[in-house]
Amino acid sequence: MGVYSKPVVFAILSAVVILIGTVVTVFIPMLMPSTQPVSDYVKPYTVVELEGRDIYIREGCNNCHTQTVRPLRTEVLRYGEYSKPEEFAYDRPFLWGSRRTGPDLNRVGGKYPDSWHYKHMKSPQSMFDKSNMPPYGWMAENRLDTRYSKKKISILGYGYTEEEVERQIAGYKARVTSPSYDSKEARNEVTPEELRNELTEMDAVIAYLQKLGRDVKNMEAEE
Amino acid sequence: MKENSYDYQIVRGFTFSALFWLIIGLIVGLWIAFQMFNPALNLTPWLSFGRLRVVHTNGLGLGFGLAGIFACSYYMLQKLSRTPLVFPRLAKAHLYLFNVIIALAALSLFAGMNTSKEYAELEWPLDIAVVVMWVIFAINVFATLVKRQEKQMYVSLWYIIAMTVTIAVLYIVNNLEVPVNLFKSYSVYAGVNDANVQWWYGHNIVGFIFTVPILAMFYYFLPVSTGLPLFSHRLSIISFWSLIFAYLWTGAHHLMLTPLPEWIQTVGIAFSIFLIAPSWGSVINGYYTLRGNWEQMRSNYLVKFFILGITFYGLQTIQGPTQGLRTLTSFFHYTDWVIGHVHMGTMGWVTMTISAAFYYMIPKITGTGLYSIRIANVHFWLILVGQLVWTVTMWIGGIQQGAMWKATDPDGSLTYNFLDSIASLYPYYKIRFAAGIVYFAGIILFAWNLVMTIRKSQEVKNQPLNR
Amino acid sequence: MNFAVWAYILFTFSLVVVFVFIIFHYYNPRRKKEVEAPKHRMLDDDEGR
Repeated sequence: MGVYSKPVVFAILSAVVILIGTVVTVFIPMLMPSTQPVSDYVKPYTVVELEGRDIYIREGCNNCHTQTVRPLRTEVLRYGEYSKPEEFAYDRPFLWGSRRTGPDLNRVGGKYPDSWHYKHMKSPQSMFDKSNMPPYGWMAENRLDTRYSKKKISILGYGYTEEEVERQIAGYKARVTSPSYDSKEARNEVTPEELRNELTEMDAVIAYLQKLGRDVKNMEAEE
Repeated sequence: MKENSYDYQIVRGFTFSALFWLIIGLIVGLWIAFQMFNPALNLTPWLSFGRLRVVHTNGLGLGFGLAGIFACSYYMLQKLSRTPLVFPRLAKAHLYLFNVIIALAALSLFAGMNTSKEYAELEWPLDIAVVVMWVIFAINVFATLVKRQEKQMYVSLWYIIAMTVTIAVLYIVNNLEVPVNLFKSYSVYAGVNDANVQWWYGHNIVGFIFTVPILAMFYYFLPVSTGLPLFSHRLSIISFWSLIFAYLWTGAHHLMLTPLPEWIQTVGIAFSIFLIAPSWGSVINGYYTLRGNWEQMRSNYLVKFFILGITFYGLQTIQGPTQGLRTLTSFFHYTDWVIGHVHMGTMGWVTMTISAAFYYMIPKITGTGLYSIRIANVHFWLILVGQLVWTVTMWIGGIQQGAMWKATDPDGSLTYNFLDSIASLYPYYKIRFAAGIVYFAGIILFAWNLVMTIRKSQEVKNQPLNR
Repeated sequence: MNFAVWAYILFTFSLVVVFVFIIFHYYNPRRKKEVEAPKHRMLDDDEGR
């Protein structure tokens, strides 16, 4: 009875059968540059944004928030310009998500000031009493861990030198700890005294959120 | 033949591992179901929804699902080959390794060590452990098959082979990552490609855990528990090859209207529609097997698990391709509709089939009857009602939310803000939680019944496995 | 019609051919007994219960 009495041949045959669809729809597109185009407008994440992105991943934010605006009229009305492949060239992993328990975040950058995010992260219910988002105030109680930042940047190939990595971290820290920071009050409210002059996890997450969709907005502004 | 040398210890071990992870996974499920309408349960970082959801999906998919599959596979493998397991000690190592991996997986996900790729969230050291475990399983599968005493392999064995091969390919390809340290890594793929690989994996890991091996169980346990031969082995051949061929093309229906190249999306829809055919091939095969013997629905308590199970499989395999169509996906995607769809499969098809398989195997290997058929019947009705209320509630919620997202006023502006749409679902979330409790009660009875069956057999004989 | 359209048609057509071949092969009455044998064999439980 041929293949049905030869388990090893059967296994090889099944492997071939499952690999046909895999090669055509997954492996071949990977070799085509048009699948993941690159645009000069879309810049890699800064070090602090990247650290914020890693916290976003750690907390599983992608389980409730998508990051793809679909080309549908009401969706563009609600969130903004629909998502383009170029925007995701530096995303490892991608974070498009599969369920919108919360709104899409692909265009959230620049939508609200930092102060809004500090308050909202601390207590979503204080801003929207019916929200079911978990509170993340404790992120402001954790100092941002940048021990692996250089290694991360080199793995991801963003091309920053080690000095550049340090400069970016110091720069962002100077920005949020400066007395003239526009969201100083909200930040001080959620950040414990001893961390007010340090970078916290919440600072990084907010930096990341403010990056989302920014490059596309800049591109549109120039056009 | 060498009946006494069959390794049933391993079947028992995986059966009770499955029950354990099933209960843990459902408790987490109830917890997050409550959080959906009352965020006060986000007590600590490790109890926050974002982390727990992953513990729920992995605990049930990998903990319960895989353990159930291993238990039934080791049983069917020996029975259908008429050969004892070739490496029983390796199988024992498999059992221990499996439980250690799932426990570490749960702990690491609680701790937020998470790659974010759905059903592939485990960080790289655990990925390696999973691959090692899979190889251990595959060695036993193929060694036993090669030594088998039965010339032709029955269809269930094909499904086991296909699962063994495909999961290996899927898991390795999607989990290729560059480690930063022991607890953190980055995917080797970027952006659109990462999404494409992930949903090729995400769709097929569901297919090759929640469909393929469950069909193997269905094709084996329905005939043996009714004494009726399968309606058509030829039909199962056609269904098998079409199913495993078409499955791998369809991942893109999870990425409709995203930046993924349009042709991949279109090919994904085409093959999704085609998949209805082989899926219904199995459904028809199941129904026709009972031809002329439908009174067994009443007289044989196991039959209703199988028949309702395959019915939910049939419904789900029509719903899935339909909701992937561009028009419908633009409405349903990202809503609770999809959550309802998934749970009809897992709470209906998968759990009912595994339940019946366990109810068949455990009395068989202990040599005593089931502790209580009445409890098994109550278990059936509780999980049936629990699941139906659960899924229908989510479908209604999904339709409502989809409609609210699309609603516009006459001037073209949006009628509802996002928060309106989620807050309007809270009544549904409360019903869903209640349905979950009903379902959970059924599962507790299920576990209790099997534990008591083992107890009973130990009372009857001092050596439970030496019939 | 461009290359892609032809490629799709050709691919679909060859899939249909393979599919039809498999069906005719296994539904050939001459093979019935052999192909259907395992479903009866699997019911012979060697435990004799």
